[in-house]
Amino acid sequence: MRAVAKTANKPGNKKSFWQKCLQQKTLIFMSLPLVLLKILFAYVPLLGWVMAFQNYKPAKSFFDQDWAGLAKFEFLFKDAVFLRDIRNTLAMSLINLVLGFVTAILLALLLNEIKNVVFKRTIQTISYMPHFLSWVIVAGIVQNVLSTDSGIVNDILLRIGAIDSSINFLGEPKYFWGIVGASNVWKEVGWNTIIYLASMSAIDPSLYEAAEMDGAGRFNKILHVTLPAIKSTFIILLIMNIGNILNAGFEVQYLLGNGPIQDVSETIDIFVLKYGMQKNDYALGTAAGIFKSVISVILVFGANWISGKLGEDKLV
Amino acid sequence: MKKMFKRILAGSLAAAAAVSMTACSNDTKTTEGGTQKHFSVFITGSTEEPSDDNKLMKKIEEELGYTFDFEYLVGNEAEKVGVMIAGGDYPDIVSCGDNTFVQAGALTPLDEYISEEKTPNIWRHIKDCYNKLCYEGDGHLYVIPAYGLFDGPETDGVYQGPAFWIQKAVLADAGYPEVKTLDEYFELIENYQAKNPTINGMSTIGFEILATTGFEWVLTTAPNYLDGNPNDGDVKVDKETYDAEIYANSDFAKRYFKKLSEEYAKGIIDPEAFTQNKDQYISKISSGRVLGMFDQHWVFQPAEQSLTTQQLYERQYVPLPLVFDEGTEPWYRTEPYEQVGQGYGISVSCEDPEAVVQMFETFLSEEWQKLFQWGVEGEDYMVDENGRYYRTPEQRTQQDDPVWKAQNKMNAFFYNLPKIQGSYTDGNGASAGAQQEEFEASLVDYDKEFLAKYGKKNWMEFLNTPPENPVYFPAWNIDKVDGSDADYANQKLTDLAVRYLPRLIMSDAGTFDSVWNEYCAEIDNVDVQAYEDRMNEVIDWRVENWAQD
Repeated sequence: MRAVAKTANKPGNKKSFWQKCLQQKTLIFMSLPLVLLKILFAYVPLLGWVMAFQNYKPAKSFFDQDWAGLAKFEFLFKDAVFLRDIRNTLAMSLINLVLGFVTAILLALLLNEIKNVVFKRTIQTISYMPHFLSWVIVAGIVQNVLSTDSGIVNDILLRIGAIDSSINFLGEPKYFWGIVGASNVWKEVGWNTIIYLASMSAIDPSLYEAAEMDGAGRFNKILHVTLPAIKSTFIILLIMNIGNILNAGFEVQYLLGNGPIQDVSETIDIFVLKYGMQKNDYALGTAAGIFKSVISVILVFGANWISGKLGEDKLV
Repeated sequence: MKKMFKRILAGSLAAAAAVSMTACSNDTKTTEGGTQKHFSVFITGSTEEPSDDNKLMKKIEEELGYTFDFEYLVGNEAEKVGVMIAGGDYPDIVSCGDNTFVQAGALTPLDEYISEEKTPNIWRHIKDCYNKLCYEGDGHLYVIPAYGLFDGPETDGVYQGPAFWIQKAVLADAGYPEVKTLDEYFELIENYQAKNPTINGMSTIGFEILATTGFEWVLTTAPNYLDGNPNDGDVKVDKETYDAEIYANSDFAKRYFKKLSEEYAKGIIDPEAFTQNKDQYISKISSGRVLGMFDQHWVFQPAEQSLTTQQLYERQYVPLPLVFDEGTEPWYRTEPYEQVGQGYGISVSCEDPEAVVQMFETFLSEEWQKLFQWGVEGEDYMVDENGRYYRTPEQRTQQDDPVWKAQNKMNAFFYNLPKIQGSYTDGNGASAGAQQEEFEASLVDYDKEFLAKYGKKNWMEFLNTPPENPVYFPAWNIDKVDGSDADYANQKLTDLAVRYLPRLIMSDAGTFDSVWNEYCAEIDNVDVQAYEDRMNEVIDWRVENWAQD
């Protein structure tokens, strides 16, 4: 990518910025709507951040608002509930990140080794179908499957005699993170393999042939050819996902969470909803949102910087 | 080629601009001759939505010229209202459940549009309690209450308030006993469940609890009633000094949850009670396998409706005003009181508030009230030679059919409209439910027999006649003021309750006390004082301003 970009940027003679703009006016004109869209939907809303520093009341105009300084942030970091929610968010994010990468790469490797095309396509289709279900439906399925009242998991465990009485999976805090992790894998694993399969199909077959000549078996070929080949894809995805680490998801915790397990199920997003929308403290909700965004940006650049230091591809 | 491309681009940009401009303007209201006739309405009533060919809606359009855009609540009301306020874009008429809209400055004060001359019906309806209905923050009237303003005595045959509910079958099986205390209640349920481990092929649930977001009070408020206090929400108000304090950590609350934990250990309480949402709760009750619960009737009304449709009359419920100890006077049913702040408000986005008030005025006339509540004469009800209203058996059956109701009633819209309750000037009950002879005639045979066994005429009689309401009553609707310390304390108390009470109920006898102590210790960390101060402040204010000489 970078090499291509460099040649395109090298003008034959030195021109000023404005001359270059004039020369490329069609390109600029073409990109204009997108830039405007980006400004409108990604930057203009940032003006709302100013709310976090006010005792914001919706009906008043901007100049009548009462400034609060950093009081809202102070409230947040003194609040045990918010700190607990940060912990939950990080924990579930890490679980999702690790499980998501491991299962997707494993499945992609397995699929890549299948020679029967019909079988391979069938598995692939079935495994990525759940991606298109909304979380509301998935949560409903999870609730049914784990129900104490004739849910299939409890039913099987009872029948094989592993337990004496039904386990209330959704009512006990210790199971919750596992349930969220497993639901995420079920829903997204097939979808996540697509990009790895794509980068695997781009591997030059002669590499495999050469490895075979050197006496590599199936496992050695995976280890020494396939995995190194998808490393750059993996790194790029990792950097992008690290930026999302404070987005542990909202729907699944909101839909499956309930009173007794709120200690482990409530995430930052739910906190924002609860105080920002239900309690109408928009300032507090915004402050929590700002905190989340700032941490995310730091994490992305951090991961990017480390990746660069390690001599790998960088995202930016 | 290049030119062609430019043209396409320019064309698409223009189109995009046009689209975004239409999207921004909300100027789609039609105004004819200065009086607005088309209104958008935000509706929270959970009854069936009127179909497009609804009989009443057509009548309203033909005779009065009003047309509506209804926006129905889906999901959590507080959230939806919060989003509306954050966006600042309101329908003309909004359903209010509390003061949230008023505090956000989203409502138009109605004072100047209401007077004896301009709106005689509304004036007659609210003049006696006008000062009570005004928002205590600024003294203006924003919402005409939808419920609680009675003409004549309350004559409804069905009770909608809080109670411990029990299936008729359980009482019938035990030989129609009088049930007074919580212990007797659970004994009946235990016996019945032991005899009938399954109902309609599904395992029997002895006692069901709802504790989901927005309905935490179903779990938390029961002890207050058992202690003999009226519906004061999270606080117990002293009957002499009017001093309010929370009872979450009180001995009588502990007593109730201790009882529940014992019943839980016996397998009487649904283990999924605390993880279910309201839909799951309703569907369990609708299946007829739930023997009892504490709740307010209107919450599980859809389930009762479904049981009627399935003709499972013995699986429907009877309200019981239970107390801990015999000798305590129960106070579940209260004298009707104005549901202050609950009803339709007119938003600041409405161009012609006067037109809306005039519409309410017309709808509050006896003619239109009868159309909303009874229906069309000759089609939905009959008049006998004495001028009394009644329904034929077919007309009664129709009233239970959701599809028919969607085509012929406007209950979802009427829910928050100001309404006549009690009786009309001609002596007929405001609705069929308030017409005693019609109520009795409409009972199915099972219910007639059941009531006869108890020697009662209707369900309301299962509740004792209440004493006079205290001046401040009720404390449950006291506005905590969003974002205040009192409000946060309240939120924290609710969070603690849904976190600890399920654990408490599911704990065994050995660990109950330690969980209870942990819960009480957490409550001590909350700024309870701020909450109680706010409650007392408003109670004092009400005593001063509401007292009638």
